[in-house]
Amino acid sequence: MAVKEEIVSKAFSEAMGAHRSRNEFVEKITSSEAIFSFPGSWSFEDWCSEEAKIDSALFPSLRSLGNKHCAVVNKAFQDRFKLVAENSQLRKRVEEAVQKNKQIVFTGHSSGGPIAVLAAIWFLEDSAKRDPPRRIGPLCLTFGSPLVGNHIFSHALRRENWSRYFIHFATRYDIVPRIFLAPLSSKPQFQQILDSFKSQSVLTNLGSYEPPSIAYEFFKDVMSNALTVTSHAACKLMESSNLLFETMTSFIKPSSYRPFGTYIFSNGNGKLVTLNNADAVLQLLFYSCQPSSEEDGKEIAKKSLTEHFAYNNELLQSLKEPIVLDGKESADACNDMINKAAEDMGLSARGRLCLLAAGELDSQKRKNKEKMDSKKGQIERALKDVENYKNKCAAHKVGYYDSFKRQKNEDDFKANVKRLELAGILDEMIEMLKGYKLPDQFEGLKEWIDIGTRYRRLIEPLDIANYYRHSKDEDTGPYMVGARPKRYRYPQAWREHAEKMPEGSSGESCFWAEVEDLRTLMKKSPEEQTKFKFESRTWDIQNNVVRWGKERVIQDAFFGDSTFVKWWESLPNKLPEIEQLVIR
Amino acid sequence: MKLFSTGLEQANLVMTSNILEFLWKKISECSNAHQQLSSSLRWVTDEQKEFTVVAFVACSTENQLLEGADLVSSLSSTAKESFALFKFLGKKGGFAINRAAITLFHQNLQQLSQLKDKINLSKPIIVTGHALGGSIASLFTLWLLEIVDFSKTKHPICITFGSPLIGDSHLQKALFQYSSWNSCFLHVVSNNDPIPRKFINHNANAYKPFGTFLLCSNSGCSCFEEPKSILELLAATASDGSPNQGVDYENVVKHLKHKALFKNVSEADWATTPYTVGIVTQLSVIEYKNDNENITAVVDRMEKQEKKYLIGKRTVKPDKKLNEAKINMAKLEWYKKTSKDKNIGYYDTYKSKMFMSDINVEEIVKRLLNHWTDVVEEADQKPQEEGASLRTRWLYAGITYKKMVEPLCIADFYNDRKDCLDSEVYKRFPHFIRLEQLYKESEKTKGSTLDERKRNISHNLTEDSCFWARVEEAIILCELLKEKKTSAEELKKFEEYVMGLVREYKVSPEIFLKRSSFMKRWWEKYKEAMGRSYSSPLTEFITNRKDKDYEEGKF
Repeated sequence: MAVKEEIVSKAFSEAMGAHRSRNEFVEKITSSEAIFSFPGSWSFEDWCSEEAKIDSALFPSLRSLGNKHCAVVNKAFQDRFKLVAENSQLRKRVEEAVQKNKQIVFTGHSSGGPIAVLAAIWFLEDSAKRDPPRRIGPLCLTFGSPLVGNHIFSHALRRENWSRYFIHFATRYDIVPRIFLAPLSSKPQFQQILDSFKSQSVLTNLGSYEPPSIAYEFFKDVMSNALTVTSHAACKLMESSNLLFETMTSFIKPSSYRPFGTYIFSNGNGKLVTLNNADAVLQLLFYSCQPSSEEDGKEIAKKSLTEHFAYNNELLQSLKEPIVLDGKESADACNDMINKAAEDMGLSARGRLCLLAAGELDSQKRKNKEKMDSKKGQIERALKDVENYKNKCAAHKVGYYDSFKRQKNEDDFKANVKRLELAGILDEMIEMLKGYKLPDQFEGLKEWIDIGTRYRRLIEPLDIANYYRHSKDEDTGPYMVGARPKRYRYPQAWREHAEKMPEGSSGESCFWAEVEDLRTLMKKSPEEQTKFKFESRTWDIQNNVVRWGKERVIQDAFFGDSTFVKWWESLPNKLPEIEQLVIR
Repeated sequence: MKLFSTGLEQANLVMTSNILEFLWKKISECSNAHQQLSSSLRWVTDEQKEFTVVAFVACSTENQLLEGADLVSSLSSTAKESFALFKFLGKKGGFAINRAAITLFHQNLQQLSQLKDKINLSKPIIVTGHALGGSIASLFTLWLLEIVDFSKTKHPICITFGSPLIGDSHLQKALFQYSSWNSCFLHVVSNNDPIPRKFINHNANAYKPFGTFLLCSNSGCSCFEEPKSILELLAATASDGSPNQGVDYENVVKHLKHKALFKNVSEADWATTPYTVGIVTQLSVIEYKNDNENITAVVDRMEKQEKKYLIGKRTVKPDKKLNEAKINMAKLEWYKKTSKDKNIGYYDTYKSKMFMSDINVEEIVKRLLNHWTDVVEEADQKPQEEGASLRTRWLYAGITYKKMVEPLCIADFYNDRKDCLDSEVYKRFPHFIRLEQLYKESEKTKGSTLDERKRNISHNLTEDSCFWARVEEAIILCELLKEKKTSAEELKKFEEYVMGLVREYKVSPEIFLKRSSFMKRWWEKYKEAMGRSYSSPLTEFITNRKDKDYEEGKF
């Protein structure tokens, strides 16, 4: 994907123009693009509010799948976007432009940026929902935009491989891209800064602009807070193992806003710095702005306000070639970008170390993935063995679940060893995912989703058999409530997300756990049965069985002597369709 | 291997947050508010939304420090009640604390005890203090380490300003046992402050640091964790000029917080590794001085020490090993099952060593023995969790292992000394005994109930893993009885022991298999020796084939 420099300049002039518009957005159709630009706001309420959970109806992808962490966004921005989406013609206009095969561009300057970002994600979510999915990606170009969401926001966009559609331009000293690294919600100072932006936005001659007297204090405050955030992040990048700082951080509560996408910074000397490693961008947000002396600091403080409006001179003039990035750069290419950034920005030794650490973490994640990939063969072989076991059982008209639960034959024992072998490998992977130690894309990789699904469908019944064989449910409760291992929960979440299935609907691999629980419940008192919804659960599972039977994912349940069939036959209310599935 | 040294970033994190300023303010409030009072120790508490602060101020520090510069052993008779509070730190012997600190603590023990009872333990606590007040803060925090339930609240944090070292190498060792304990402490030390350096060379260098040190100079600050480096750096960063007795840490923090925003001018040599660059920068910002040694050598040494320390600290990732052990256990379980099918029981098949499969099991047993010997040893040296050498999951696995494998060790033992009647008895491996102890000590493990045992009796293992040793001894007794070298009393006791296990459902039904040693070698001999007319609950049980009911939990 290459973004031509003309598109950037066009988008920029649209973004600036939008500030003068009274509409929610401004549309500009050119021969090949449809540019949607969003105006900024200079009122305190439109910037600062508490952070909020992402609206998962609007943005279902913005979460981590296995860990089930929700993205957090700036509430004011999310609310404003929702107003735009609900009350305006945006959806209709965008649709029309798509019909005309235009490249869709969302853009915004200052607080218009976050609205453009959310609009682009909304467009991507909408594209993915369609059947067949819309293939063409949007482009989102922001200029001096504040940060929008936290690290999960950023993680999820990379997992979806959407990050590459976002390019953020930032002049070297512009305060706005770093402004949310400091808590501002209670600072009356901030309105003064916004007022100063407002006055600049209508000035024709920027040379006559005088920054407010609080500029230096404000700058120092933002930078000091930004340093807390970046130092904390750097401790993590460098794998500090001292708990003290984690405990402290829980009191200090540094800002959780994080960058994502590609950043293009100007270095102040006509050079541009491109960086798409989010951890490195965070560090650069502080270190590129770090003054070398008090005088320098005062000078930079002034620039931090004026450069918010100097994108044309400071940055766009230096953009002389198309921007080419596809989000699939090699580890070396990424490290080169980082080294070049440190070089061109003239960072201090400390700053440089922090950037290097960001690159190192990225390399480490890639290595972790290579390590997992190298185990694929071993996983495949073990799965193959268990599959043979399953077939062998089926040849004797016995379900492998029941056979495994009885543990009578040597094959049952061998399957148990395979089960444990696989658990070892998969648990290692889960451990890495829990700490976000694998590349963000991992949970969206088709090959791993497929392996995970195969693994889950084939092996989880064995885990369930083992659980109920040892009557562990009597000590620690039903398998599904407290005992289901993460190595099955995670792959289920991946598949449900990838296939756009409702959460929890791909539970065929825990079919046996439900059967066992209902069998136990059937022997209990009617009160107990009502309490644990025996009736409705029995219908649910029968309906699911019909569906899964058609999908042929629980074939071993249908042998005439299986635990399931026997239980089903003893049911007072039977679903007759199941009879046809039973193998007599 | 770690590629970066994190001291600078940690220092930045602490400096730029407002936490140090806030705590220093509490300390000054405390010293100002009660100036007219003459008590030797004062404190204030302040309950914030997220945490509670306790700040200590000691008066007339200088004299107290001079007079109490030596170390007092926890085993001595001084300040007994106070040392009793720290008993949990000295499980492996005594340790020593600075006299000035423990004396002051002891003088105020009663009030401190009230203070401790008053504190809301559901919120995290930050304990702080200046100079000797900081020493009291450290002692108070040590006390909390035993009381606070960390599964519910966060660890306390103790932040001292310009406090002297307070303990010896034994105290240091006790705290280093758990990295979470050691990381409760942060000591802020200015180059201009002589107090924290006072005891470095005292008592033949007996004082040893613990916790993290934040060393501050005029040019910057950095954090250090490695204790040897800390001692060296404390000495090598002492300011040349007339040391300022009352360092105002408010100014120190303010200055450094401001300073952190600016670039540091020193230039690093990028031909070396990032780790080295980190250490060089750290030494430069804390204004390290050393006229006797080449700086490259110093950096090299620091780097080696720090890396060694971090490796020692790294908690092993034992889960993978546990999985290997699980696989071996599954194999043994299978072996046990096939033996049962042969009507023998795995104790006897293993003992007979008739088939290849029996020989193969030897290898598995050897691996499991090695694995668990290591695990138990490691856990005793470096507990997996606070207050527990082994995590609960491991403890359960260990107990199952013991029940499964110890009978096989017994089999090997009696194989080696076949049929000789001398009185050498089976000697257990220490780790079996230790596992049993740990299991009993742990509060988190709960034994099974009779009902549970009944339900699962068919595949349960015998609870007393030394059961087979007792069987073997009983077999020898039978021989002796035949030769009239002993009375039947001992054997009757054994019989009662077995019957007790049966009633409690604590013995595996596999002992009743036809060809097992218990039935074939003991029972037959015993029956013969006791005569036909002999009747007892066990004879009743066996002659009436009650073992079938037993296996179904219906006896």
